[in-house]
Amino acid sequence: MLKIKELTKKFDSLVAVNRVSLDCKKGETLTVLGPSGCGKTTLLRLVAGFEKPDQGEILLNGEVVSQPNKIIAPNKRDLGMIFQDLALWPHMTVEQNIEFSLRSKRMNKTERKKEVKEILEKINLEGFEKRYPNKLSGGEQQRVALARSLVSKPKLLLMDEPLSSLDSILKGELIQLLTSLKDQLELTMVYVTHDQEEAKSVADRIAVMNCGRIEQVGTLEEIRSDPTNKLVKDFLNIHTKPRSFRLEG
Amino acid sequence: MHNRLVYIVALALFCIIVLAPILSMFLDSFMVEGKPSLSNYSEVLKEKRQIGLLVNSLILAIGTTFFCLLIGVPLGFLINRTNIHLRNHFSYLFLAPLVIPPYISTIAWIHLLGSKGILNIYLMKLFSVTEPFFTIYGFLGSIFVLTLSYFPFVTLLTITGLKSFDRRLEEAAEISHGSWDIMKKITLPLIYPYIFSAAIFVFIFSISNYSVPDLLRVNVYPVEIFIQFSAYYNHAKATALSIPLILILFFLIALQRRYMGNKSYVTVETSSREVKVRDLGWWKGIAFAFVLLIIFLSVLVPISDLIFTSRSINAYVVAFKTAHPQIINSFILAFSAATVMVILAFIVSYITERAKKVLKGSLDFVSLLPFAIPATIFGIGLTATWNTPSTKFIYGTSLIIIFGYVARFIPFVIRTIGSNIKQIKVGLEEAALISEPSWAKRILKVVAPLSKSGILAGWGIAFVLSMGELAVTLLVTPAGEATLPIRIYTLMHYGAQQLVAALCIILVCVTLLPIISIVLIGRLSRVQIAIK
Ligand SMILES: Nc1ncnc2c1ncn2[C@@H]1O[C@H](COP(=O)(O)OP(=O)(O)O)[C@@H](O)[C@H]1O
Ligand SMILES: [Mg+2]
Repeated sequence: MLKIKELTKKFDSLVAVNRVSLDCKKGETLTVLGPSGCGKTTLLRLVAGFEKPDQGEILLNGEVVSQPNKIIAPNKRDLGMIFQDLALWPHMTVEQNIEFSLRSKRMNKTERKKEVKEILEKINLEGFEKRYPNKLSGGEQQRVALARSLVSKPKLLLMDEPLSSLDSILKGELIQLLTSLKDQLELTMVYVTHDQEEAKSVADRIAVMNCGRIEQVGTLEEIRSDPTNKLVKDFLNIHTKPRSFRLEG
Repeated sequence: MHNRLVYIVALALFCIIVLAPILSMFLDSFMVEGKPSLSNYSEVLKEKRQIGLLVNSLILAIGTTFFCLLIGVPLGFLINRTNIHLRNHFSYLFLAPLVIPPYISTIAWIHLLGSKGILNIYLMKLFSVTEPFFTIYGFLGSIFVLTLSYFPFVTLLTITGLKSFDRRLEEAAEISHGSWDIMKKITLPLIYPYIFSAAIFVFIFSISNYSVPDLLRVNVYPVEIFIQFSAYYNHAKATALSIPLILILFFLIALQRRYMGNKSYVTVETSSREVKVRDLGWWKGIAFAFVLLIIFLSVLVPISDLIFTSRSINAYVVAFKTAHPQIINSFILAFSAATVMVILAFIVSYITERAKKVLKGSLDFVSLLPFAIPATIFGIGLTATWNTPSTKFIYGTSLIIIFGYVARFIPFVIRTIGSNIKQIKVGLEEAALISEPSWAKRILKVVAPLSKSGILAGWGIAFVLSMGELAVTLLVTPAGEATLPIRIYTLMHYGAQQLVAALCIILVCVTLLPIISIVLIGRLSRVQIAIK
């Protein structure tokens, strides 16, 4: 579904994304895990079409959407995105935020209302329609952002550290919500985070990123049984078991 | 306790300089021959003239506001959001009209497009007609000149608005919409408070401008008030006359406060993301021509006309010889007034920012009051307050002019410095409390340096406006203490064209002098200042 080939993005002399290649199959959740500043946000912005790559290309459903000299606008890519700091529109109510993100222009007023109502139900936000984002708690804002990104029923959902500002209980609730939605809506997700627990709990596969490069890609078990280097090991908290046993004993 | 004393002195000065004239002129209007009476008002209201004045004033102000928005908002977008040619230069050049006082550009335009204007004479010859097609006199000309003087306020606030919100709010919409929808539903609504404020300010400036309608013979409130005062010396009636105008201005200021709320007028460029610059493509040429035309009409035409009219270096020599006392006087007065304003404004906005909610709201509103008082009325108020035997040391000297400048322009400075102080978190100051127990030193070492850009900008604005001030000075200036604008205005009536032109150019240059130094010292260009 999503295919990234040899993608490079530079900001002046800084190489934010360095020859990254990744694949993401339909219905899969791929987490990109890496420390702050390693280029995760930049990678997502490239996929969304906000940035132009310096080298390489991105394909969505077999169609080239980003190349150094050709770029298809974000609104033509059929994707949803949750921004690192949410970017809810402060001048619109919850309902307006969600309705404005409804892509199709062919729907009439009642159909649009119906779509908005449906997604609000799914995400447990009924009763919040007329509120403004600054009158919501962190978790509620997070759910509005989620509703907004899903209302158009995109096939691909990009998430940039969507839960990093929440406490662990809320985090757990939202991860559950996300997992159920993913099955209902047959979503493919790219989930960016610096938190390994989060990565482990949502991922089908994990890509470990550092300094603009992908260090290793695989399921948690694959990476755990054969980490390519110390950095991956440290970042996923992988201990060699015999050693820790001996210490305990 | 130390700080209390400073607060009290500053607030007292603010009240004496700014509020006393407003209050005393109000009280005076309810007095007839020493007794309380409403007859000034009843007399004024009976006159049919009121309606005519009101209509004229509204036409002028609404027309100017409309055209300022029409020019100023697109210009802000072009400069901030597109790859227009010379983008970096336009980002400060658009402010240039602000250093040319409106009456100076009016003088130039009369010279070009007056009934005997050189351009009109040329056109009449060319088409062999005896009447000019268009003269600068009247409503159209006044709106034209005022628009070219005031549109930078709109552009400035538009740009500040565009910089005030996170780019991601627009990106979040890019996921689902094209650029036109985003502009309509996200960008414009987000900067709407800024545009609305700009519109109100332009409206206030143009409805209370005296010089332009006076020179271009449009009968509006400020002109009529001035006549009442200077010809009949009836200041109570003059004040009563202006009450409808003051009420309108009050209402607008309250409205502006409501919409703008606590928004900042200064945005210090954040290090995060640069704005996405849109490629104008095919429109690039047209956009460039549009911006050039605006700069051409608002700056190049008046300035080159004046240079052309002054004709020779000799005119400047004569100008210096005859007017050097006024040149020096103007500079010193504007310099001192700007400095006083910055100090007062700093303390007042510091108190406002750190004060409790109720006090905060009222201080904020009071500091905007001078906007609601047309300059000519302010002049009357100053006279009523200070023209007493015991205050001759103020009324009879240049001090009264400084008072006038401060009273009229301090709102600008408070807005500018205040929005800067707003960005300094209380925590930063408390952190300094640990190592620096002296309040004064903390202010000087922590707060003042952090609001440096606001202070410099505030000073610059205060200086520019004071250098060009005419309406108040005209009413209160003591004998023999004339300023350069007064000199220009009176010489005009004697038809000394060449000398007037040279003096106008000198005025603009002297105004620019400290501004250029500030830009060089403070690198003002990296900070966007907006006036509210
Ligand atoms: N627009 C930009 N201009 C210049 N440098 C940038 C820009 N965006 C990101 N960077 C730099 O690229 C690197 C990667 O940033 P980012 O993708 O935001 O990392 P992450 O999301 O993993 O924390 C950082 O060093 C950051 O400073
Ligand atoms: Mg990031």
